[in-house]
Amino acid sequence: MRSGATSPRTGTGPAQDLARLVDQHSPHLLQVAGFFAADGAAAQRMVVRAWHLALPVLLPDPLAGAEGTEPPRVALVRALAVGDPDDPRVDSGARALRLAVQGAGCFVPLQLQPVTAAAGRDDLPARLRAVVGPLRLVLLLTDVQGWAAQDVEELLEVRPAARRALLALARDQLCRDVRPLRAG
Amino acid sequence: MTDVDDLPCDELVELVTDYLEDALDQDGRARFEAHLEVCEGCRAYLEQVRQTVQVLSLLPAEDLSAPAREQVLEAFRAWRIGGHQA
Repeated sequence: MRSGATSPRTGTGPAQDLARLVDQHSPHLLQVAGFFAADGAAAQRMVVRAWHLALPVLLPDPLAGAEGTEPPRVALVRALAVGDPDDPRVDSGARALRLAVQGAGCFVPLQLQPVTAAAGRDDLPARLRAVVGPLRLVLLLTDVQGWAAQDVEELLEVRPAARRALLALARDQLCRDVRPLRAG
Repeated sequence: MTDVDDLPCDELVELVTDYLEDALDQDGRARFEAHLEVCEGCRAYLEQVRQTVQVLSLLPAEDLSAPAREQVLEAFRAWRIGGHQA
C-alpha cells in the first residue's frame, strides 16, 4: 500500500518540503524496520518515532539532504534504532536494529560458509529475516536499498574492507543451504 | 597462471564482493578471473550472487500509513508552533 504517496498535500513551504521528505524516505525506513520489528504495525511505530527524533536534526532545512550532498538517511536509520522506552514493541525492534549497528563494528568474520546455491525468490523475505542482525542490516541497505558503500560505512562506522566482509558473509548466509555447487 | 591452486575456491568466495565492487587490484582481478575460467562451480556461484543482488533490489517497499504520516507532520507543526521554526 502506498497510501502516504497518494494522500493530499496540505500547507506550503517547509511543511510541504517535510511532507515530500517523509514520503521519499519513509518506505526505506519502513523496509528496514520491517526486517527488525515484530510486525508491520510495530515497524510503522518505529518509523514515526524515528521521524520525531530526527526532526530537530533535519530541520530547519529539511531538504538539505535531498539534494545529494548530505543524505539524511544515515541520521534517519540511526534515529530508527533509538527506540521508545514507552512502547516496548517499538523498543524491541529498535533494540535489535541498534545491536545490528553496534555489532557491525566489532564483527570479525572468522570463516566463510561453503559455496552454496542462491536463494529462491519466494522465500527471500524469510531468508533475510534469518540472516544475523549486523549482516542483515548491511544486506538490506546495500543490496535491497542500494545505499552507497560510503553511507553504509558511515552508519556502521566500519572501514571499507570490513563492510565488504560483512556483505560477503551476509550474501553467503542468504544463499546458504539448498545444495552445494562443488566439493573442495 | 590459470590454476585454481593460485586462488582456491574458498578464497575466491571471500573476494566476490570486492570483485563485484571493482575493489580488487589488477593482479587480484586477474587471478580471480583466471580462476573463473577453469572453475564452473565458482562461475555459477558468482552468477548466483549477481542474481541474488538483482532479486533483492526488487523487494517491494511500502509507504507509511496515512495516520502514521499525519502523526509525523503533526509533530512538525507542533515543533514549529513551539518556536523552533527557522
